[in-house]
Amino acid sequence: VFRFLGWTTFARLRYACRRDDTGRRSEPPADRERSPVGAPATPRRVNASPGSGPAAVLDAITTLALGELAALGILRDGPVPAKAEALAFAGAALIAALWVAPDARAVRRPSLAPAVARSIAAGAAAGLLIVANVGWQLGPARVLGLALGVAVLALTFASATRVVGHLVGSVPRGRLAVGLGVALTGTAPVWLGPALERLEASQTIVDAIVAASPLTYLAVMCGYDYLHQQWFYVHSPVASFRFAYPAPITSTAGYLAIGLALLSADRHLPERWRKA
Amino acid sequence: MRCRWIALGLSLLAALVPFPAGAAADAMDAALRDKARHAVDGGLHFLRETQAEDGSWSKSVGVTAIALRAFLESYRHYSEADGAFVTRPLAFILGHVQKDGSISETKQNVAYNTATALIAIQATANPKHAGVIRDAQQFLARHQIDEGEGYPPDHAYHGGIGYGGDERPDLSNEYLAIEALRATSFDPKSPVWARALKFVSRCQNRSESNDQSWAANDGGFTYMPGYSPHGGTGSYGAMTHAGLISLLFAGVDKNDPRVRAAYDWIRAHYTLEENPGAADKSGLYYYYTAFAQSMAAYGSSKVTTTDGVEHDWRQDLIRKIVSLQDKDGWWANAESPRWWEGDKNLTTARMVVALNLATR
Repeated sequence: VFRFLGWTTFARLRYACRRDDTGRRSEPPADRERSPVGAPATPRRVNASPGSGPAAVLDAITTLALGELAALGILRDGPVPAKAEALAFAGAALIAALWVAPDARAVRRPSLAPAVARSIAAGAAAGLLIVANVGWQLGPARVLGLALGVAVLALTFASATRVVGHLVGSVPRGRLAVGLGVALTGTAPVWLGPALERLEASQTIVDAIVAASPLTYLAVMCGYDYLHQQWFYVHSPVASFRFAYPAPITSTAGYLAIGLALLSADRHLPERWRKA
Repeated sequence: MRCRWIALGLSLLAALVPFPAGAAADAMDAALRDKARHAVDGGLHFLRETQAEDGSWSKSVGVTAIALRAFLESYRHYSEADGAFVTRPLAFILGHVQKDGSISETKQNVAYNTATALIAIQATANPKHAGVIRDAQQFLARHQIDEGEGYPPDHAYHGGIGYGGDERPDLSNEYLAIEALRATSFDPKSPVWARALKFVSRCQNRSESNDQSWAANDGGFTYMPGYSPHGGTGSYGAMTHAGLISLLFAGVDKNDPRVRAAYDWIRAHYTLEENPGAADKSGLYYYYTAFAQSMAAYGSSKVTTTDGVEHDWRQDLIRKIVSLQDKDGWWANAESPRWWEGDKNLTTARMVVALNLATR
């Protein structure tokens, strides 16, 4: 029932995005984003409505459906540790949340409240996905930790996507640049591993590379030693070096600071730099 | 003059008294034994210099436990009565006892740390630590992967033990846990042993006792079911010695075909110039420690290789380890930092443990 409802909602939302009331393909309907005092109001898309309340709920439902599909695809069959399963659902929820987030064209000068509401919705969606699929095996603290992690990363990456989109003058390029950056930092322990081994990198460097990965952040939020998990152990020598994961509170503070800074930059970006 | 005659008489008397336990060590060339003891002294001296104020080495329970073991098992027979260099590391280890019985400063290597700490605490032979030992044993037993974690008996992970923060087991952590449970006389009737043997057998390249499809038939062991860090699922020295120790410590007879197959692999690949089967020098010092432990557990000082040549493994190992020691007393793997072998404290402690076993 859960999956059916999620998918139906998702399909309806995507349909609403593509077609207007007459059934013709068109640009999505627009309404008004709350703007800073003195700044001109700008249009935005309905399906990707950046407002709080119902729009955030719709975002969360869409995120649930997308996230579940992606995570189930990743996990396939065979026993998977509960923490790994939860991490996969959290990661999928995050990707889905970024996919449905409003882009640089839709939100010209974002306000703090809607951005935070959307992030909380993404976190709540991640929490629901985990509980629906993994249950409470991890305990409430770890589920809440993962939900918080998803919320913080959603805020940071959504803000980064909009800022970069404005700067490069293209929403797709902005998404691509941020996506590439996240993918590179997220998998750095894998692709940088051989170089770290060859250079006999110090523990400080290894720790920094491990800490920079958003995957590490989500893993520490649920207490999962993912680098010793079979796939990572087979594909990266990092787990055989001496390293330490960052403290959850340090990572949370770091990502939150970056996210808020990017949000502020997005709000105060001069018009001449807004090319999107 | 009279004293000299008494001394001579005592020496003759001593020569006539049988002492099988020390026979192997005493049969060793005296000069070589002195070299080994000198190397042990150098290593222990280095460790005393690098010990932190809190008694730890490398701020790690695992490294501290192995270093403490090196002191306690040395020919000097250090004990808690010898002073702070023994009592402080012990206090550091005991200071990291967790509510669940584990002993670790981190959640990453919790099983590894608990097993090494258990061995070191047991080496103190102090009955005061019985409660800590019992709780740590129970932690390791609970930590073993079984149906409770959703892995049925036909799953390759069943019976295994991993580093601790995840649920991916491997033979290296398994052998350490088995060694710790054996050293602390864990309940021999516990199902932990049978489950452990199942996992150990699934790491052996012996299709008659390994139900995994990849299993070959050379008798050696690989790191975990279906994977070797040196490529494919090939057998290599460090894990074959770890596998042999696991089998013997879990109570398998020396005549069991699994033990015979592992020992035959060792005979066919006998060398101390490299970790046989490994792609590079990574894990070389781990190999030396596992070599010393498995050969000591097997109980024969001579190894006749498949080409018919007889080797005295104790003498060969001592010569090799002594030749690798730095003039300042330490050992470290200069060619690979993997598995912390670049850490002088860890590698030095391991080499002293190996020398202690070879000279015992």
